[in-house]
Amino acid sequence: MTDPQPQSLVPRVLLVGVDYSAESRCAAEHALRYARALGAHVHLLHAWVAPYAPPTIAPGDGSPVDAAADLTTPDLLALVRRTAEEQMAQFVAALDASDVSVTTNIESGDPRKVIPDYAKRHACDWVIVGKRSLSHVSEWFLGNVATYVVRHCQVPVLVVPSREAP
Amino acid sequence: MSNVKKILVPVDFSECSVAAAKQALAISGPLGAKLDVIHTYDLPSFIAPSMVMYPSQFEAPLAGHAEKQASEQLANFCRRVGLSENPEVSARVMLGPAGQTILDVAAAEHPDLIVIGTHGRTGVARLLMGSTAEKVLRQAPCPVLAVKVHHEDDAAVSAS
Repeated sequence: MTDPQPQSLVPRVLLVGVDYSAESRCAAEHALRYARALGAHVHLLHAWVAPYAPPTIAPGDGSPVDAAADLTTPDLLALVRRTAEEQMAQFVAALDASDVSVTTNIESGDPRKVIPDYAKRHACDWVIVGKRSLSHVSEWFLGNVATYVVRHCQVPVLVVPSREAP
Repeated sequence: MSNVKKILVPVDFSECSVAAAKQALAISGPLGAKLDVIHTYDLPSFIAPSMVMYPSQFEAPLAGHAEKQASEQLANFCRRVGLSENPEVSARVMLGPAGQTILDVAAAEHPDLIVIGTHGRTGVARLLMGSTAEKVLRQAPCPVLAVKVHHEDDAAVSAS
């Protein structure tokens, strides 16, 4: 008894979790290579976590708190978001992605939650994440995000080790 | 052109490794990659007293029997998944503990990708990831594609 080979097993939509690190650059490069060979679309997703910000930030030099009025929380969030968008633009510009159809997305939240949720919402066929491989010790730490994503995504997850340092 | 030319597919005949093998097969064509299917097996841990007293008498037949059995199971698996009669697929059995043997093969033969099921035949089905898959994911020198079974319910998973 031989099962037919379902065409649907060839992934058409790849999702890469990106934190702008060297590891995620490596993961994105792998994703592009698979996308070229398989004719797949690539989503690059960055998840950002809102920083803790006290209601007012004192400059610390004894001057009035008003001096820091431009660092109120909404501004800070806008700044974080703008920075994330700029970083994503730089990240994509540094990739050789001209011949691949790529979507970039930035969502707020814990990447361990955001990546599996996004994969489900956008019907991604594979999820691709990087893994640190800097030392012998780190092989025991698959990476918080990578571990969680492998465990919680229903679709296949490709874990890409970063290139060893020269 | 893809740079993925050799895909290592460790299988233990579980439902997850069926899914992993099918996934590997599906992408091997478009990628132009060869599949290297391996099944690791261990010798039975049961040893009768007479085997301890005259080990040499039993060792060879036992090992031979285990290897033959593993090879037959692997051939059946390959037929079932549709890997037989494919010139781009090689299949072999190897003696040793699963995780370490897979890592040794990966280190020696430099596959471009390992495709592995997240849950094997042994261990606790309810765990989020099997120990062999976890070890390979942590320590493999190359990218690893972790494949799950598309969901059925818990009972089907536990039964396997």
